[in-house]
Amino acid sequence: MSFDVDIIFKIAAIGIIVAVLNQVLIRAGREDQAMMTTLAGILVVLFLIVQMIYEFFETVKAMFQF
Amino acid sequence: MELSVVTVASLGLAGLCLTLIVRGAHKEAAVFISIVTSLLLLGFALRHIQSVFQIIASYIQSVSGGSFYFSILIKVMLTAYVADFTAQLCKDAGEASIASKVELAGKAVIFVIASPVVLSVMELISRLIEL
Repeated sequence: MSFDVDIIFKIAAIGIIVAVLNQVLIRAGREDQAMMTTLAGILVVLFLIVQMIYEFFETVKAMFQF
Repeated sequence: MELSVVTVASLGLAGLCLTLIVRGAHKEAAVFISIVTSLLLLGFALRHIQSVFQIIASYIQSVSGGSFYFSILIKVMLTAYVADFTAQLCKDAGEASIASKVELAGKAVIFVIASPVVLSVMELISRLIEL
């Protein structure tokens, strides 16, 4: 997956959406679902980040061939 | 993305602003954004440096037998960059202890990588002394 600048905005959007959902669910009295939503948001972002780290380390490994 | 300081600066500032915005709403996302921004910037820099190093490496191999030291030089430099990258991210997230351990381990790795050079210098000196 080629990464570009838009990934930063994607993660920011996920963060804000999760925060809003969290507040809405807490006000609606469903604390456990709020926790689930926050965890889901964090997991999605972590998947993206792990993929980016993998690609970054591939670049670093390629440079170690010299 | 073409190589210019404008790209680098805009990427860094975008990351900074988004981190500030999201810190209020969602603390973990702020750390994630700083990680992703620094990953993008360092990856961007490394991809562009790679082509220059290929030219230098081919030039050094053709000119002299120094390619052994050149590869060690690059390995040490890369190790330093990646170790510092991780340590700074840990400090940002508030984990100073992890940061210092990462730096310590990075120094150990660099020492191991650079040890052949030190040994060859020692050998050279000892041979000179025997003359």
